[in-house]
Amino acid sequence: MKNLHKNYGELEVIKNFNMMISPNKIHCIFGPSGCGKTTFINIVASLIPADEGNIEGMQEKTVSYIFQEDRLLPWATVEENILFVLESRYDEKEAQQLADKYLSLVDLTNFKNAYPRELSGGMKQRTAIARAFAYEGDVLVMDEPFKGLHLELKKDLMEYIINYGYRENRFFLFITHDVDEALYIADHIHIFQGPPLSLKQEIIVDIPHEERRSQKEKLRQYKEILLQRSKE
Amino acid sequence: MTDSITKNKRKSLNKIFIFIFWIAVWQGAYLVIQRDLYVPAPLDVFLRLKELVVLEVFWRSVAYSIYRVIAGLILSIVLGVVIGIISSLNDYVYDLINPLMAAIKSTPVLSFIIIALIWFSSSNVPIFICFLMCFPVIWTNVVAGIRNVDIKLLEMAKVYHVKKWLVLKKIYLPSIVPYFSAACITCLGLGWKVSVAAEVLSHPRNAIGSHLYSAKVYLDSSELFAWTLVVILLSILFENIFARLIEKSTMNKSAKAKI
Repeated sequence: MKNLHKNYGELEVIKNFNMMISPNKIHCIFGPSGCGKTTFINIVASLIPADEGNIEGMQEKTVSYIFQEDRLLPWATVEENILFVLESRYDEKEAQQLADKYLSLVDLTNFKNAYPRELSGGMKQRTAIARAFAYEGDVLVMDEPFKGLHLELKKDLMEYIINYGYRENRFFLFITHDVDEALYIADHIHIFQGPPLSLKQEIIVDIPHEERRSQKEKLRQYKEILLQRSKE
Repeated sequence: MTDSITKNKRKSLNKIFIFIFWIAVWQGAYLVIQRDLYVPAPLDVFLRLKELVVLEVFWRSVAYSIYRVIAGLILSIVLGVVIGIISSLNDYVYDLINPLMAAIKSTPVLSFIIIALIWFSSSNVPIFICFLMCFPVIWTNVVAGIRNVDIKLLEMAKVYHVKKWLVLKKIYLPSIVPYFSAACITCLGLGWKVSVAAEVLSHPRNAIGSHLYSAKVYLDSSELFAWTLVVILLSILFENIFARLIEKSTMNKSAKAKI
């Protein structure tokens, strides 16, 4: 990303912002609310245009976005919700295969004919995650996808993302407020401040994901650094 | 199962009781006032209705009145939906149309009927009036439905590059349906009221309103009440048929989803 610029009226949300992200690594964006994280991520997803600057290497890239809310069509079943985003990109057979594959990944095959109102919050979010995965975008963007979910479910879902991440060749951007979440999932943690948005520090978490549950002491050190740096 | 049967039984018993209660109130009013001209006896009205039902002219009038209401409603639905969609997509069109709708809504229906009497033949006046009164209701609700489409769902569709017609079919249409059906139910009642009123003033050859008018001329209260009952019954019948249709179409949708 080079010299990104975005104003909302008088407010400069993003000014001369530069950042590098590398494929196959999970990049966590960590920062106080209102610092411009969501605006930044929406520019990456081309949901809103940047006033100036560009994102190099992002042209023609497809984006899978997991929103804070599930954003499911209330009048469509779990399966129809997933097919809805696939139909414009894949042919019918491919779309069906992808939907089946990712529904079973998030354990919702038995609920594919259920409507969102019949599901729990966690199941709805799992549907949204399956939708994002099934689309197989080159960039996976997540804006606090686990907000309000309980710990066990959160860990399961993060496990999906970690495994998905190492199998495929793509970019990962993950916004969170939660230190433990960030340390569980991220390879790079970018501490943001703002507005205008700027990068305060980048921390590389140098522990393989499968060892994170056991390396408690090392994780604790990272946590201290992270908390300290984000408070300064 | 047995629970629901007794529940249904109790419900229909309740309905019968309510019906008897209001007939009793009517009968009471008749007994207190004791003048047929002001309040005819319920029995007289029912007898009158029985006499009317066997006449050919009764059914012809009912058929023509139904035709006028349906014609007016279809016109208002088609134009209301088309212009509603255009005005919610374009702010200029909305600003242009909105004052017209506000004006129509607050103009007394009689003013329209009188001007329509000059413009149209007597049989077409009720169609025009029914259209004119229902059109703003449909228009307003279609616009409200489109404006209330969840922006978050539209953003989601944008991120995933969902094709325009799919967005229209899967996001816009289902969001408008509740607003649209509410508007239709309102219009079914309203349509009957205003088109019969227009018939009273324009008295076309075959029309419920024309019979109401002659009942007034001859001071025949039981006939007036009998025809009024017919309008009420038709209006309820229409609403029920429409509610069934809506129910059926939504049921079809969920049945399809289960396959």
